[in-house]
Amino acid sequence: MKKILIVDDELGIVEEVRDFLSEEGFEVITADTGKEGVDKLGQTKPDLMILDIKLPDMSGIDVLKVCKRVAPQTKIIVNTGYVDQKIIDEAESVGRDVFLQKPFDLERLKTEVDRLLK
Amino acid sequence: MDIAFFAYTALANMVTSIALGTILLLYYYRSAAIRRFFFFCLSIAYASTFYFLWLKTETAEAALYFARHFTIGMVLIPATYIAFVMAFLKIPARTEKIVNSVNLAVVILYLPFSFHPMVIQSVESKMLFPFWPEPGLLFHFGFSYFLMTTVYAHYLLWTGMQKEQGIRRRQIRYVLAGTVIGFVGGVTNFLLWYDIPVLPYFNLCISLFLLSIAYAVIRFRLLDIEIILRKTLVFAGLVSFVFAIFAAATFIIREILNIYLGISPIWSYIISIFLIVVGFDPIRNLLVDITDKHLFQKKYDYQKLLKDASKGISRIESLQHLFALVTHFITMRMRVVSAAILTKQKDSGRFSLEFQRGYPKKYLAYYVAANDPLIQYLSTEKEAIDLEKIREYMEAGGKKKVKGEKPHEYDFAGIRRQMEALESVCCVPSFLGHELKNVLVLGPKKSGDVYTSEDMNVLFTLAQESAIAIENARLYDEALSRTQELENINIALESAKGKLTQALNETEAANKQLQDTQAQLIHEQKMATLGRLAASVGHEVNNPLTILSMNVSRAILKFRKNPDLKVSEILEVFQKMEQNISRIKAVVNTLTGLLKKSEKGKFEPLSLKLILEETLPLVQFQTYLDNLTGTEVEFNVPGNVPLIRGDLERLQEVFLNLFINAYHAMAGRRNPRIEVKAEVDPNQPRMVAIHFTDNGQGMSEETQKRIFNYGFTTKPPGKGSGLGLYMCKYIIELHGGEINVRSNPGVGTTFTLTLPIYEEASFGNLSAQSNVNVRDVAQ
Repeated sequence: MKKILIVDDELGIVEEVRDFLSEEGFEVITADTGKEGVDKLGQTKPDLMILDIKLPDMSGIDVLKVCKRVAPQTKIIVNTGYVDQKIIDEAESVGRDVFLQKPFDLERLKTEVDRLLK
Repeated sequence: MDIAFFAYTALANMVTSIALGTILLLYYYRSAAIRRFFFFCLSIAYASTFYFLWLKTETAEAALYFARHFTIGMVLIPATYIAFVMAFLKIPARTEKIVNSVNLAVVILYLPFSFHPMVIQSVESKMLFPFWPEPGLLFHFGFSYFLMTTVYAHYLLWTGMQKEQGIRRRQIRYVLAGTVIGFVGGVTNFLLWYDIPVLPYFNLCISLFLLSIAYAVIRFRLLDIEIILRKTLVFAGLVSFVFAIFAAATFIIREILNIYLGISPIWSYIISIFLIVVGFDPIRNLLVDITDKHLFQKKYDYQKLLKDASKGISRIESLQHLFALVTHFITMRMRVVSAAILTKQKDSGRFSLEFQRGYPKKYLAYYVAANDPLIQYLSTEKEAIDLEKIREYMEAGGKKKVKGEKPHEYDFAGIRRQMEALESVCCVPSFLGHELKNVLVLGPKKSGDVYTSEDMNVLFTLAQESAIAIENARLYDEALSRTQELENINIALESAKGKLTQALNETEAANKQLQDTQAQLIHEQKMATLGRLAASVGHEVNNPLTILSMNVSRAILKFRKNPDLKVSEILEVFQKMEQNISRIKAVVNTLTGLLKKSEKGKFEPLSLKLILEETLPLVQFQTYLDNLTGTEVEFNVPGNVPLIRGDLERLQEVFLNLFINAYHAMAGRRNPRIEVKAEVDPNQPRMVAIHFTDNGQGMSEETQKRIFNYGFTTKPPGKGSGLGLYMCKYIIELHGGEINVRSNPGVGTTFTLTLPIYEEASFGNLSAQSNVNVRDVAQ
């Protein structure tokens, strides 16, 4: 069973994505701060991480960097509600697989997850 | 006519020849021509002495003896004269040698026979003269030699004159004329020898002849004729005095004392010698005085005037006057055709021709280079130079002989070219210290005379005096021009004042324009703030929107799986949707509340608490974006703080900026904390003071000073616009308040703002007051 880590401080989103992906047959792990996300990355080495850029304690970009080091095989979907091209570009240069601009719906998420974990 | 007259003409010739010859020799013994002239004078003196004795003697034997001596003179005179003429004309050495050898041979051959009867057989009475010689065969030979040589001398002088130009030509002409006069005068002595009944009336012409030659020779600079004449006269006077004493003593003592008192004639000589010794000096002084005062008045004045001029010029303070005086003085007093002054240029070192006087046309901007041969000569030799001197040096092979040194070499042709270009005959340098400062450029004398060495000495002295005076005058002129400069500066200051006033007026206009610009800036700043807010609002709206979208897709998915699904089964989803819609609504409402446009410049009573509370949500959006959460904010605004007067929207901008800055200052620091404290200003009872304190990194003094400057920022490029605090200060001042900063690096920063208390009474004309404040700030 494929493992998916969700890192987002917006609990409503975490809840929705977790419920949906569990039903789709994935093992879902969640974190609502950057630090928690980094810890769980190291512990679980997930197949996929769905990462928010805006986190209360650290930038999602930093989490992305840690991921590249501790779990290089992990696929990454970056998402944000903040419309700043600079951050989007930075995430791309560090190495994300997919970028999703908020708001996005579950069908779109499912398509990307399936493609990455094929 | 008495025989004595002829005797005394001979005596006069004797005196003149000795005097002239000796004086010229003393002055110019270096000149070959003058040395020969001296021998010629001696020959004349010799012949004249014996001529005198022969005519005065009382016995036939003595007369014969003296006449024979006279014939020796007759042969010596042409021999020495032709030698002088050749040296004077600078006849080629070869020719000169041959002619002189021939002459010497003739004289040597003649001398042994001079006392032979073949020259003079006897003396006989002829006309007035009791003892006149009867010439023998050899006399004819000797006289022929005299004639031939004299004719040859004429010939040499004539051809020599044809070859020369200018002064030199005139000089030779004088010698030639003198020779003709002397020849005519001399020949009259010989007519009676050939039984031609003409008395030697013109014997005195020989003196004239001598003077003429002397004059001509000294025209060629050797000595001023006036000095020669003066000295000759004094000398002649003294000789006459000595003779007179002797004659008188001899006559009186011998004739009277001897005859009547029986005193020995020896005493007559002793007494006359005593008289001469006693009387010589007073007589000489008397003669010098008489000649100086009465005969040489002009000369006397001329020297005195030069002296006066030297004294006078040092008192002249204006350079222009001084130069003008020097050139005027020289042209008028020395009777010079033209004069000018070459003055050294301070910057370039070259010499420019100034103060031209008497030139047919004025030279404009004529310059002589510092390395010109003329300038080099004058600088090095420190003496005046004239064309005659140059000619001498050029004849000496372009070298100037200097005692104890190697001959100095100059480009004399170049010097002459330069002087001719300047139409100058004589150039006199003028030094200050060792530096050549000026050159007096003198044209020819009106008389055509050359510059004598005495002239040049006087001019040189004058030039040195004038150098000092010129320097003085130059300094004085400089001082004057500095005074002028000061005046000019004053004028400039006056006009600057005018310009300043104008500039002030312009500034006022510019201020008005600035006010408009600042209003524009406020608008732009607002737009920038709004842009940032919009971005954060986007984030704040997008999160709930995402959830909402997911809720919708969940519901749709569920309906697809089970088309008979009841609404109650997914009620939970709808409730979530409602929550998120409410949240979006709240975010948008906050925004619209903030953005609600208030009327521009219209101040209203505001509660400080309200302002802060309305600002805080915006701050939180912002700081959330910048990852600066976790800051403790404490509001310490007591209830008794009165309302302030202001524009909510703008004051919100101020506090938003202060908060954002504080957050940035505290980034990465432990226990970030902001305290906002308000009180009635203890110093100004009509103001409220707000202290906005953070415990961030603080800032240096330098930064504090510039923090409110437009465009100043400590943030990395692209992060800060440098507009924030500038706008804060501006807005606060628009309100009639102040904003100041106090900071400790590493400890924290406090901004203190003052804002006016809202007063009921002034409510009616708030608008007007705010306008006044705007003006105050702008000025």
